[in-house]
Amino acid sequence: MAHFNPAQAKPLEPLLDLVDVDITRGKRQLLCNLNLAFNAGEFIALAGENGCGKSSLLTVLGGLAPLEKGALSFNGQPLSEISLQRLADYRAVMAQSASTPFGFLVDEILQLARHHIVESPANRHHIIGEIAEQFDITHLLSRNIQTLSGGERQRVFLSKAILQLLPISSHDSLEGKLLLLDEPTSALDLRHQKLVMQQLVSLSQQGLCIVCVSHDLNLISPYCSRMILLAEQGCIADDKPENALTIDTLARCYHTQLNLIRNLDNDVFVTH
Amino acid sequence: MTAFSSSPDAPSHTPNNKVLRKDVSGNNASALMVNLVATRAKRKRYGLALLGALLLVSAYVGVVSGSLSINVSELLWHELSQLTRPLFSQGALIEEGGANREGTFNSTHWYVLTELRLPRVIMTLFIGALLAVSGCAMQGLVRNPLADPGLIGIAGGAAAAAAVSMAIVPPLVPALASVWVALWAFGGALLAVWTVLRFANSAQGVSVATLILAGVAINAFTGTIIGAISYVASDDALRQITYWTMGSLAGASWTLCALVAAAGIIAISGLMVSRNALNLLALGESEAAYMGLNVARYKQAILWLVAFAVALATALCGIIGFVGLVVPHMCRTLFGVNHNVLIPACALMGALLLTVADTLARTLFTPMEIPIGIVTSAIGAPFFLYLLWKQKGVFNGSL
Repeated sequence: MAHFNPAQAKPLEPLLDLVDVDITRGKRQLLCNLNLAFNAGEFIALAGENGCGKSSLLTVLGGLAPLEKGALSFNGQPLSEISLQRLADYRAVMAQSASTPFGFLVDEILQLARHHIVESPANRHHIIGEIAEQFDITHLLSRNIQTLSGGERQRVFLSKAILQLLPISSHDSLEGKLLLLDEPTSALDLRHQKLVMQQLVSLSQQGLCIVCVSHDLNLISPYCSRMILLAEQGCIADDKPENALTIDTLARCYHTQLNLIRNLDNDVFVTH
Repeated sequence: MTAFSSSPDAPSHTPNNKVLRKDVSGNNASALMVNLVATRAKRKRYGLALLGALLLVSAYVGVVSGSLSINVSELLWHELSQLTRPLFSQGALIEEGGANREGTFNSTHWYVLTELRLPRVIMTLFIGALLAVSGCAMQGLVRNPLADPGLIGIAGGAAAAAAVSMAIVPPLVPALASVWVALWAFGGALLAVWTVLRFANSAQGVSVATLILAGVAINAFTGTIIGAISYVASDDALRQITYWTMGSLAGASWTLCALVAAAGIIAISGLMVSRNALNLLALGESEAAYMGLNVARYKQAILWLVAFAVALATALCGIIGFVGLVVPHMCRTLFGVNHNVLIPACALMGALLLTVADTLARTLFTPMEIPIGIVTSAIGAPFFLYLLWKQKGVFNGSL
């Protein structure tokens, strides 16, 4: 645990490596013999029908659920050997419906995200301010979290997850860090959907590995670098979105007939 | 297909569209952050200072008022001049006659002040602070603003054990009756907490839902024990049990005061150390774990810290309800929900309110004294209903 140091990990090694992993929920087996590798700088969309194990997979990737079978390594080290305290520096999670029964103010929640980072208050305020501008929540900073709308709250908790990972200096790379998102855009309007997608692409270009569960394939496929479709207890497609999304894979994934439209840039769009 | 050509600013992976973190100026928002934090820090300082001042005033009022009213400054001046008399014996000769007449009068006052009032007020301060801070931690821990330490069976266990000791197993040395009852109550409270935690602990840590349900069951069980004992107890023991469950600070002494102060200081500083953990836990347990908190360890530590502190307070003073429930609520509306401020605010506010309540209990119907538990419930229950009325609808779904 004490020897965990991502800088020592071999550069060619994937950031997150799953070998023969089973995902179970209660007694139900959701995913079987999963083999996946996630690399630095990738923006990965994870899709599949309701209850196929997307969120359970995220919980395992986040290190909260113990692995029942298979091996899972993060930065070259078994994930289960890394303490949660240490892991918080390298992996952040935005859960599906984050909320609190207490009326925290937005800026307090954002400050909590950096509780584990030793930095000057000035630096902390500067970084929080930057992220607040980028996710258009500056006007919400002094608001009570309970009075926000669903979309506003989603942007706050997304900012919180990102703030947990940002290095003290903006010149440091985000390589070796992992952001797990569970439907981060489900309540956003079109402007903020676009804003969030652009910011996520920008973060992945700085080396951050992003795994994003989403049902909105049309929103995420033009932005993500890789799309994984989960069905039939496994991964039925894992490729660039324009290759992963075919009439055949969609039918296997969602058990219904769906159509595809391809534009001139070869982006794919799903219609009914 | 041609109709679906991409617009000029369509999203793409080409660098011309990327928004780099460094390119965006965060100046406005950063300045706002600095401003927000500074304003809040100032408000916190002034608010806490005001509470502290009110606390000093209420403590002073508590010391001087009662069936025997004491003029503290005159008394102190007199004692001081008594001490320094040998040094100024020449000049003191003149007022010799007057001092003799006042001698016995002042020594009674001095005794009431130093052996009765002061230890009682100081003990009340610490009990109030300890109960309020424990309630605050409990509510943060179970993420339910309606929780209090009684929830995990502390009060019930203490009351049942105290009843057993008063009605069934009297102490061997009658002079030590109060110590005997306190020991039983302390043991009973911890036994109840231990039982509740046995049920709530699982491989995944403490389950809050089971904690609450097991607490309800244990409280019902201790209620049965008290009922059964009351049924068979002698009139004398019955009166003692009833009196005990209504709470009293009348037994205060410097020894008990030191005990309570030690427990209070340990509990408050322990919770101050865990204030960040409490903030993270308020966001949810898995959220806290994702943010790097050792949830299981903090939960156990905070629960036992609260259990020991409240068990001690209950053992020494009986059941004093509503302080742990209402004070954190008041402080949240005044100071916000951040435990950085909430814990010191709860400590001051709890001390303030219990001191006022105890002064009222002693002075409203002198020379009779109302049990403190009745005063706190009489003030606390309507106030709590008022809070619920004001926040109607806010708790929808969160319970």
